[in-house]
Amino acid sequence: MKPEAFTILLTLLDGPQHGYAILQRAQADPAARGVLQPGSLYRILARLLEAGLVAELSSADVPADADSRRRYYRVTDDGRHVMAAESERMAALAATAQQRLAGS
Amino acid sequence: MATLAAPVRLSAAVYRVLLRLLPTWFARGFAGEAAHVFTEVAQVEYEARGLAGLAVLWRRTLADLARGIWQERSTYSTFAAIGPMVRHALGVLRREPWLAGAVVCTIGLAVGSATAIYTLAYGILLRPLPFPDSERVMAICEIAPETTGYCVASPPNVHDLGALTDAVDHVGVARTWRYRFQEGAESTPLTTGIATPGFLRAHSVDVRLGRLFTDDELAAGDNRVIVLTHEFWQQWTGGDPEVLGRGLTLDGEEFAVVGVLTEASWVPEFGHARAWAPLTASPDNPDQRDWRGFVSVARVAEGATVDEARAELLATYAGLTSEYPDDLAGWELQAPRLREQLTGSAVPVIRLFALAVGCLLLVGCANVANLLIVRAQSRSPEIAVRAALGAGRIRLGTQLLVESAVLAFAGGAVGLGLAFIFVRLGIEIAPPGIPRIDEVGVDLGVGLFTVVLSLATAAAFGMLPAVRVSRTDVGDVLRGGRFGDVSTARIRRAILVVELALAVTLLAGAGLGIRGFLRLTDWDPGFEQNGLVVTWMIADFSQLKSGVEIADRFDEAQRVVAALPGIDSVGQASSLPLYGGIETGELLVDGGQPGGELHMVQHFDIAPGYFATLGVPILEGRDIQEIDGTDTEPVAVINEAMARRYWPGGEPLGAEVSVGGHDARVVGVVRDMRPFAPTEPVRPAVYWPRRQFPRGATYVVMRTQVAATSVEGLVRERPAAEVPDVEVTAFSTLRESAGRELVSPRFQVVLLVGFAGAALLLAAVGIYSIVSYGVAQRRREIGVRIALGARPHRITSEIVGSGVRLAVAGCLFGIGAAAVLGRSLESMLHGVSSTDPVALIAVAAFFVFVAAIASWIPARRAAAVDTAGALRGE
Repeated sequence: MKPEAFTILLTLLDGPQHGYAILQRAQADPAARGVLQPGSLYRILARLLEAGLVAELSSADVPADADSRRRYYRVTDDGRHVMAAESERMAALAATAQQRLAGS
Repeated sequence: MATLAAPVRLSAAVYRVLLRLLPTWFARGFAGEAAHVFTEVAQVEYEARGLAGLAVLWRRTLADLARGIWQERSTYSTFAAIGPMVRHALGVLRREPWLAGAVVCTIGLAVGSATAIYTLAYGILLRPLPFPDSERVMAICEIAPETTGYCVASPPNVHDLGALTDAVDHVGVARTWRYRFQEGAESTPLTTGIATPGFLRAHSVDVRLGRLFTDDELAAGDNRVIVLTHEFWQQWTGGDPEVLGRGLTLDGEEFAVVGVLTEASWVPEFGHARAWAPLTASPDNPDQRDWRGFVSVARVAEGATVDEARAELLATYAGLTSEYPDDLAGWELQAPRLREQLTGSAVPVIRLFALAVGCLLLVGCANVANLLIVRAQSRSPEIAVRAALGAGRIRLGTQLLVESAVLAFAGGAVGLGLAFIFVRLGIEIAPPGIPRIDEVGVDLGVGLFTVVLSLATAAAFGMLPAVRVSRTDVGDVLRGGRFGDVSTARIRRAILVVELALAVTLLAGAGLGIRGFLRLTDWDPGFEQNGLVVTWMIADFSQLKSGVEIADRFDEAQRVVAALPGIDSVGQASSLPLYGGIETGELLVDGGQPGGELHMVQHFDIAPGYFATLGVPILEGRDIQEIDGTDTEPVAVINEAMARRYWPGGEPLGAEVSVGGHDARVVGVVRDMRPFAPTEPVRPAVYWPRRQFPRGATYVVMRTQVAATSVEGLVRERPAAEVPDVEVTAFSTLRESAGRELVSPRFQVVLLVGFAGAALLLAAVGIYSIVSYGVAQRRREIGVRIALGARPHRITSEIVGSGVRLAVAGCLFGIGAAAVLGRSLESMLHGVSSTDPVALIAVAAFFVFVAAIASWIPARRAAAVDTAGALRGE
């Protein structure tokens, strides 16, 4: 999974967000800083939507206080599964790396 | 959201435009959101850190966009599809061979002629001369603007200039000198350059053997040394390495070989010199400050610029003028780069043709643009269908661009081929005397120029329809409309009118050029040109020492010629119209300058029978006669122009005149002879008896009733055979010489007519394509009108009228432009006005006629429309 996609999904795990909020949260997170720009954000979002990992909130689900001009996105169940698998893979990778670093 | 700052609004607008580069699916779904978010980010950055913040954001954004475009494109493999696209393009183009052919030919013709002219212009004007540091070599020109305007120099002046100017190091003078080269019993003419060593050093000539002669060897007694050119060394000695010190017998004197030049050593204008001798090694006295029969160059010293050197030389010359006012008054110094001096005469001509090429290129571009717009329109349904089926904007645009690029490359290839042909043709038909034309060849740089030119054409006019297509409303096109009909029709008409105007400008230029050329062929010198034969006779100076001796031999030779069968009469002169060598000198009348000013007049020395042979009448007094000799009073005949100028209403006969220090009494007035150039006035001239002003060579003029070829053998051989120490070296008829004068103007007119013809062809294609496209558009309407009873010839004339109206509009602009630009044609007009009504009206009429034919072809087709078919919309 590309870092941009991972960052978006990671942000959305906190709950539904609109695009700007995703961007802002990504900027605030030191690990994801600088990964996303508006253009790539929406390109990756489009891919995630296509793959069914992310879905757009229907208007009924949009929070009452939300900006009505914005589109909100949430992680689907598929998205959660993929994130779980990806984070396990990454954890395993990280563990392997640390073992080897310690051993050398 | 609060109101946005101007930089943020601008950034947002630019960003929205850039987002269009991403694929269509993105634009539909997310572009608005993305732009919105970008605006917010930009606003935050701007508020926090001002323009610097925006700059950082843009840097990140541009990188991100570039990556995005690259990824999306490779995902959809637009680039990978180029190969199939080219195949597809070839297929599409094959379906419309006429249009593709027209575009390829247009680009080919425009690119080909532009490249050819670029090649010639570069080769003649811009390429440095082929010796080291040649751009730092200047010509030293003493010019008398009042009289000759030629670039000449006198050795003492050049010597002083060199000695007093720090910014130049090697300075020198040279002239051609012909020796008789004696080898055993045989003697042959040998052309050499006589020069000061500085002249050769300034040209960076190098020796293969030995050395150049030195400044010390200019001194009398030491100056019998000679340096051979590589060519002459090969020819004379077969490349003998032991040649140094050998003797060479020239004019009966022994010259010691001190050096042999390298093969690469090259001195412009002395290509015919076989060897170089010190300047003083001729019987002339080069010490006279006012004898300027030399060419001179100077090399700019290390550390100085050409401009500095020029300024210093001019200052030095001003100083010399006050020191030697007698010899330098009326003269001024010019010091152009040697390259510019050598090619200067070609500059106006090349500039003119650059203008013509520019016109032709624009005509070609306009044509291509129009053809491609028509093409894009006729393909709009196909493209709309493909867009509706999901083909991306970039994909479609790229497809069109690829098609244009294929056309452009084909056109470029055709153009390159044509360029080779045009350059060869140009060199082939070029008149002699265009400097350096023999060195011109199509080179790699020119090929590159062509490729860039054709690619630029592709980019410019391939993108135009692509942009239009990207704005096409798919639904509208599929409903049967065509995109942008009204606006493109207007654009196409505007482009066409500009194109026609340019073509008319070229045509008018050619028309004016032809008028000027005809004027030139109308030369009436004031005597019958037919039946005049001219030869050049020189005396052998090694045998004949005194002027009287030479004059006797020439008279003897004249008697021999007069007695030849077929020769009616004979005369001699130091120069005559069309044959160079006219000299000028300062005029004094009755011992003083006329009006107290410097006046320069032409002077000739002639033998009795000269005017009679030409058939120019003596108007007053008498002709030069046999009795005028060294022991009688010096006399002169003047021309009408001189009599009018210096004795207006008075009596010139009996007046004392002195020209260039030679005194004589005026005994006759002869009718003017018109110079060849129609714009040139008849200049005041003085004719002396040759016996009273003898010199070593003369023109011999003969009038004959028979063909010149039938007397040539006798005239060449008999005088030389019967009179010792006299040689006849040339033979031509006056008609041939006049013909030679016309070669160069004819070359220019032919080139100009060629350009105009190409432009006319392109313009006709342009009108044809616009009118036939209009006919195709209106097919249904025309069908209805014919069905309702409209007469076919009415339809025809209406359509022809629309084409002719465009042509007339083009004519008005074009003729106007020609009248203004005509001034740049001046050198070709020979006094014809650039607003000459005959030429301009003829051109306009011809152009409208061609336009009418170009529109008549599609118009005839329109009148023959199959009514039923048109109404069914087939």
